[in-house]
Amino acid sequence: MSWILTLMAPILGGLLYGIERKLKARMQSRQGPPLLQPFYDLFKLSDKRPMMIHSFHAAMGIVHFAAAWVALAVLFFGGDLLVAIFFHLLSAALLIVAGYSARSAYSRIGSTRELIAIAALEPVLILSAIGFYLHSGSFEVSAILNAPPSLLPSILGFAALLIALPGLLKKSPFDAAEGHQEIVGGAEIEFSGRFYEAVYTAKWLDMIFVFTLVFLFGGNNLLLGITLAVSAFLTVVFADNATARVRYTDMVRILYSVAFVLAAANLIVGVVL
Amino acid sequence: MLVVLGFVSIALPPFGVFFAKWLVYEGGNGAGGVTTVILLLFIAVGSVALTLLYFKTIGRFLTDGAAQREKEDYRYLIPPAILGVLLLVFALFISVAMGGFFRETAADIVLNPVPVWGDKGGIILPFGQIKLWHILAAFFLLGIAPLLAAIFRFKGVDRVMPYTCGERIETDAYSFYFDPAGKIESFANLLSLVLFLLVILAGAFNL
Repeated sequence: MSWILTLMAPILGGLLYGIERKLKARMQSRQGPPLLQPFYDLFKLSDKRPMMIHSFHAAMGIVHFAAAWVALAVLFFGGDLLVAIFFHLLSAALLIVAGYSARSAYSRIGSTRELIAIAALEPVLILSAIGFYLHSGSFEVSAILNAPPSLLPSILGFAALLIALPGLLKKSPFDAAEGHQEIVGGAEIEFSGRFYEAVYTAKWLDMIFVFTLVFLFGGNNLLLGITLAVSAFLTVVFADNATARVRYTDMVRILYSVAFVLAAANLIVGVVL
Repeated sequence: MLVVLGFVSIALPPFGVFFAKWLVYEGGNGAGGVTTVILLLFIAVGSVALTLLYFKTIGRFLTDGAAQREKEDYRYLIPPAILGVLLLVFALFISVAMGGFFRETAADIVLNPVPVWGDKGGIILPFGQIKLWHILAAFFLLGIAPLLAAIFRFKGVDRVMPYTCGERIETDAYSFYFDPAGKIESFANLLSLVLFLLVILAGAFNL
């Protein structure tokens, strides 16, 4: 099962991305693209003339995708949650390195914003993982899934993660790192064709990764886990539609003053009380 | 090359960056009570500050053409090359080292048994484990892939100029958002000094 989930992850992610685009369009009273549009995009990208600004930059896009896939594999094989988060952050870090290596102001500013977003999001992710540990007594995903649901005992941690989700997925209001109308996609701007395909698919894997984290709050209650993941997905799509992008400084302020405080409170409640 | 080797040395498992943090997080949970809360919050925020510092340097290296063109005498490569080889050896055989020498040495220092075991090429702690394939994957993604990417070139791919909205300007944007950090530099220095002294005092009085 772990193998199948890991191998199917890009396809599941593509479908999820297709559903998101469709849902977003319907929220805006539009027809929206077909459900399989992300896959049509992939075919189109693979047909494009191969171009790159330099080899290192292009290769980092592929390694970024590989790291995102490894992060998911750690989760699906029931591995250590902290290790999975490490690979997820490594994936983001590799895209930042790629962004810095391009001689483009948009790419470099996007990379720096991405870095600042990580600085605000990483503590929340780590503290959420510690919340799982406090409840299940282990960082192993397999142990967390065998323990009773941690939603109520770690409700503050869940709230913190929910607030951080748009940032992790670069969705509005925390999409300053991409800022299409402002910095033209940030660190991703210089990728094209098959190299952009890797970056594009990594986004799908990121979606699966973060909603799997939400799913873990259901513990051994599969139905609760699925309900939480679907609810979180709808919340993120709604927030993306209904909110405007905040400045990167406000993003850091909001994430530290609300999400981090909630995650820290969850830790205090779990350890001290 | 020096910079790349340097960063590889602080990034590779099992000593570098996230893997070192992993050991501290897992170990920190064993402390219990308020100590655990303070420890974990400090690590969570402190590690982020450290990541920013790394990237400030990486950003400078990748965006500064002069730094990339700089040619050093090959002898400067010897110490980091030795370090790189040792890291490679320790990363691949961490299970043996951690399960034997490191654990015994650490136990002698803290005067208590250290709950770390090596198993099938990985590391086991009471709350979780790093498997061999995690170490190998990190090793490839952090060390080998960037080095290969820096050395080899894609064939049959056209090279193009970056997109600049049609403007021909040189930019120096890598540290744009770090500049405001200068305002809190004195405070950060003072805080780190106080924390450093606290570590010495805690060690001296066995707290």
